Amino acid sequence: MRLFEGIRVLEIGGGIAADYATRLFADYGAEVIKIEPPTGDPVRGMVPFIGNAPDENGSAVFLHTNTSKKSVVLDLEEQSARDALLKLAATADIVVESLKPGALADMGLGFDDLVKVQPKLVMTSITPFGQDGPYAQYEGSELIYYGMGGPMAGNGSEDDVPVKLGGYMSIYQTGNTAATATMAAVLVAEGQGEPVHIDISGFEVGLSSSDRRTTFLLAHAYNGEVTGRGNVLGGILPNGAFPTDDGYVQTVVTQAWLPRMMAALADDDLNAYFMKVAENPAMFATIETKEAIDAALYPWLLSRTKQQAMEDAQRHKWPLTAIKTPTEVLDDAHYKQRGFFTEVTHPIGTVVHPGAPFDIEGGWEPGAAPRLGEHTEAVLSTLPVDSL
Amino acid sequence: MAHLPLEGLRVLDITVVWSGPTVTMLLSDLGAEVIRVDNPWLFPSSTRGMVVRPTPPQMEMMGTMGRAYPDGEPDERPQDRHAMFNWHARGKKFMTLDLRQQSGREIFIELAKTADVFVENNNVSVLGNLGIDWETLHEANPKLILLRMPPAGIGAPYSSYLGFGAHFEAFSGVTAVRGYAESAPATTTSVFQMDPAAGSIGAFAVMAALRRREKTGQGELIVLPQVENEMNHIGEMFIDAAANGYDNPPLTNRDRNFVQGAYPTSEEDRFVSITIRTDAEWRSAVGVMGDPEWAADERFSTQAGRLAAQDEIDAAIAEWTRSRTRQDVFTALQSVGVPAGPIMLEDDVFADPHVKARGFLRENTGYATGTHLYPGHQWKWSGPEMKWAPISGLGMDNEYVYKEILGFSDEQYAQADRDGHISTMYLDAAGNPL
Repeated sequence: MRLFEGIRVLEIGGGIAADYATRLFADYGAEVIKIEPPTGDPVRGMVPFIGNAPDENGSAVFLHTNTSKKSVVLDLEEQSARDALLKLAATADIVVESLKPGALADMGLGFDDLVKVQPKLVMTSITPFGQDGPYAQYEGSELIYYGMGGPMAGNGSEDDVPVKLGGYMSIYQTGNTAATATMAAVLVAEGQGEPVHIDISGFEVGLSSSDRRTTFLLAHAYNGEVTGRGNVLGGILPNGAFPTDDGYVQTVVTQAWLPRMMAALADDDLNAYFMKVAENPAMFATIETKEAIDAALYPWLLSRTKQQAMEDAQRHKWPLTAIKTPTEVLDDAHYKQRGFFTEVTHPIGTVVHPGAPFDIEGGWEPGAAPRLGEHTEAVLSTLPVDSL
Repeated sequence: MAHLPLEGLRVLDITVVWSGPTVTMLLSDLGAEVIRVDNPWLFPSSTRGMVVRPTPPQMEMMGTMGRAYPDGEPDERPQDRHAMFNWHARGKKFMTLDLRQQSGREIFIELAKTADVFVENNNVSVLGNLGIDWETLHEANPKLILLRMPPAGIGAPYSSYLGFGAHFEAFSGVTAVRGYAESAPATTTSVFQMDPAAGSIGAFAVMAALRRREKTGQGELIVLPQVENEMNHIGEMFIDAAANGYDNPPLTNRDRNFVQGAYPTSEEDRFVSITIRTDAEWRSAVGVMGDPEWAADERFSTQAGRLAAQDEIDAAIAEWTRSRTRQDVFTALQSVGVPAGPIMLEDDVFADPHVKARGFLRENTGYATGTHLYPGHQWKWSGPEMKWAPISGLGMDNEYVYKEILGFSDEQYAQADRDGHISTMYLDAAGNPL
């Protein structure tokens, strides 16, 4: 039995957050119907494209966030389309929408309207700043989400601007959180027959998520500290990216892990230095300690490839890893053995997708992302003609 | 009146650092009784603080993360006072148990018989070493759902590797695609996006399994390889690499689809973000900037033209923002529908009118910290009010767990104490409080 067999989801408005939230249901077995305007989900227009050729069915971002779904084109400017959407909502368990606060209600398709036709509905509204408050109508982007909600102010070099994460990770995390909230509401709706309307704010998802942000917000409440750019974990023990013969490795060395690093380095001078530290602990938190470590660490790394350095370090349980590009990751023996990447056949060509977020019985089965309007006729023809 | 969906369910928790604790925080918010099991003989680094009882030089050396105690003081009970633990600890119950002992293992299995969910995010070998693997627990309680969160999955070359999110992200592709363009990656350390990503999806997975259990009556094993989950958050880059042979480089704050950046303001070392996604937004932004001469350049009227001239546009926008406050830039651009926002330090968040209007920050009280404002729930809903409860202390719920749940007599409890399971402090090898 698929995990979400029998669940029907409508998605309205598109965008990466809503698309990813509903994809998590789709690939685990729910039926997800995308309601798209005639111009399509805006994600269809996003670079990169398969073959670098712009195509409404070929955006890699769209292909990734819309597997296993159906696409139904409805121009909600038209009353007939709004009627059709209402009929569809009557058959759905979940509606995920990402329009501006109040936009659906203005069309007679708000939570209160939909609950009249589906009394156990879960409706999840995803916006940059939530359904109310002074910024409710404001616009967002990955950069805005991460800069306001995430720990961007503390990310990067003191000599340069604060820097974001790669791609759209804050927006993905907003979709991820929306899926979690939706799952919880499904338990309420199915278990108790109560409808639930969820208000997801991308800003608040950042402010409440566990990457440093929550810790540093609470640290500020505790002691007034603010954490700007630079090295937030302290600078004596190695923490960051370090060069090897052919690229970079990443390490964070805590005090508990220091002996493991020293065992791997097996450096006589460093060992002698720490013999002296053992006799005089006050020596530890000094710049001399950092210099002694660096004098052993850099030559050790530069005489190895990043892969060799990772394997040699991890043999001593020293947490150090190779920084790999997506192409290197695609080719990595680890993921090959995991069978992680999967190929999905699509009219645009074969698409290589990353695999399951989690493994469970009857789980993840990505199907092709829909072409624009591919299922309009098939889905609308199932609706009763005059029932409403 | 509806009740919380996980009310009446019990969750056992032997999680560390952030990702696993986020899962159990969400389950607790949704009504579950979460029992966190700490081993008083093993201080888990980077969970209840960085080290058990930091010295002032250590705290200085470890930065914000080392100093994150109320008033900057570790005080008598540092294990109950650290921000990296307390933000997710609300409402959970804390017991102590030495799982390395046979008697500890037996007590845990008895507890597992009363539980619905068990969550762990330890190194992949830990459950087996402790004798509480899936087979053992499933036999003891067929209805139990076990969520394992091995960073790199089970049974492959890197599965045994050790580290935090910052380490594992390196071999997932995530690290290589972020940071400053054309500079070594060393300038963007301390990113741990793997944790929130796994925290949300872990709670999602557990609830999906609980829903299925209603139908099948059976528990199940869920394995959440944390890097693999996070790789889905840059999924398009793998599709791009496989289809087009293109490796996304770090772009600083740029985007391949439109012009955006982080710009200086009139406030020292405080920045504002601006994203201009469409031609219409470009015209609106130019209007807000007072229709400057430079912006009339024909090349800038199309997306492609703007993307080709990002250095010029960035310099000109920075010239405009440099004499304005973040708030001025933010509200001026947003009032015409252009995405902009201050890059917020912690004090900005606490002062923000929207954060206040939404009631996001909420007061809570910790056993060893007093009352402070905490980051609030991850979402709002019209459903039953989510749990918001005080923060307990290490081992402070031992009597409840041992006596009320497990039915221990006073004598049995005293024996558990003699066996070294009961403590409200971390202990050294001789059994003295650290």
